[in-house]
Amino acid sequence: MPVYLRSRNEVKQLDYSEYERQRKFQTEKLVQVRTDELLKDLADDHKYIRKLRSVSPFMYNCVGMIFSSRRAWIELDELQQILDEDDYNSIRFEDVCAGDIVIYTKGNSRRHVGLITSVERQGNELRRVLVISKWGADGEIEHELNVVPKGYGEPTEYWSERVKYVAW
Amino acid sequence: MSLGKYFSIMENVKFEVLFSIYSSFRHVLAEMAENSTLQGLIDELLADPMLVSEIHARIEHLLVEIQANGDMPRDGCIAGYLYCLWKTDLAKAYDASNEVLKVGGLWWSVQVALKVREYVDEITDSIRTSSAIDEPTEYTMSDRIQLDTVGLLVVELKADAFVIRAEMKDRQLTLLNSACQDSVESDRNEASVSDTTLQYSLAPTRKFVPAVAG
Repeated sequence: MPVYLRSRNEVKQLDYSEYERQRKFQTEKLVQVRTDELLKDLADDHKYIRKLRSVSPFMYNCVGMIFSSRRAWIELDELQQILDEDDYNSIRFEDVCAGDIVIYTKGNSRRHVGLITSVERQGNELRRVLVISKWGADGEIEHELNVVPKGYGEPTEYWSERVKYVAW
Repeated sequence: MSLGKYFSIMENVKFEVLFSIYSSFRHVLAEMAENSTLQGLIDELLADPMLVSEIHARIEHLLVEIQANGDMPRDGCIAGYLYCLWKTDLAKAYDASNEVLKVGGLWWSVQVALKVREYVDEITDSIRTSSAIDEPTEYTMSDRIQLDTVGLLVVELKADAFVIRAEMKDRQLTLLNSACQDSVESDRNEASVSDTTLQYSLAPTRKFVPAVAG
């Protein structure tokens, strides 16, 4: 299933036959087991997710969830091309709103991307930001901005394709 | 730590999710390079190369097991074992990679297996083209040398991925690269390459370790 950008360029991804070949042991039960372990690990740090949305065994990832409607596994290396060619702009944290995306980095390496689903403000201050994201081959989860596995690092970049976006 | 303890840690879902969360193979490799359990196992295998066969056998056991029950979290540990073999015994890693690829159906394990095969193929290509290397290289590295089951000696030099091939025959070690052809007695427990200033000592475990880096 090809994924095209606004520029009409195609995003690189694995062949579908490769998906089929490699997902033999990716069962719903196994995704559930792994995701439960991740949530337990977070709970040990007193971090709790808002909602486990899905434990689909289909192999889509965080990039594929946002940019290919859960149809594809797209490597993070392709993310910058997507942002560039889908007219995304980097925005300030203070300006984020639902529909924008957040990128998590560890060191200088982009490790994860999520879709912001809800932003609560009090005056000019952000009180709460909720994100939905797919954790690799594991579950799709609605979570607070900072509640992600340690391997993803911290939320450091915010991007939006909004035109004349509202600066709060 | 005993091998059994490593098996217990690595065949646990806690270990599995260290890698299943990632979207890019390079992040998995970065995680593996930093993982203390894997580094500990690599150290154990380097200290006692006889254990390498046990890791290989463990991979074979898990591949049979997962085909009987696909719900078991086995991708991370098989990928981890393969990674450790890759860093300690390339020949065993190559064999195990072929077995993983034959079964298929795993995610990061398949990627590690493909990487091992690609790595071995690169070395093979490098050996084939090594006669074209005519510029003497300044070697400042230290790295492992691995002797595979057919007596092929492969020396990896981190500096520029230059590869030296040698043959062990009748206790005579012959280096085959045109840039450093030499012949040494293996029972002296050393190898030398006179025109590149490299010298190696042959460890009792059939592994070479750099003695002098010029």
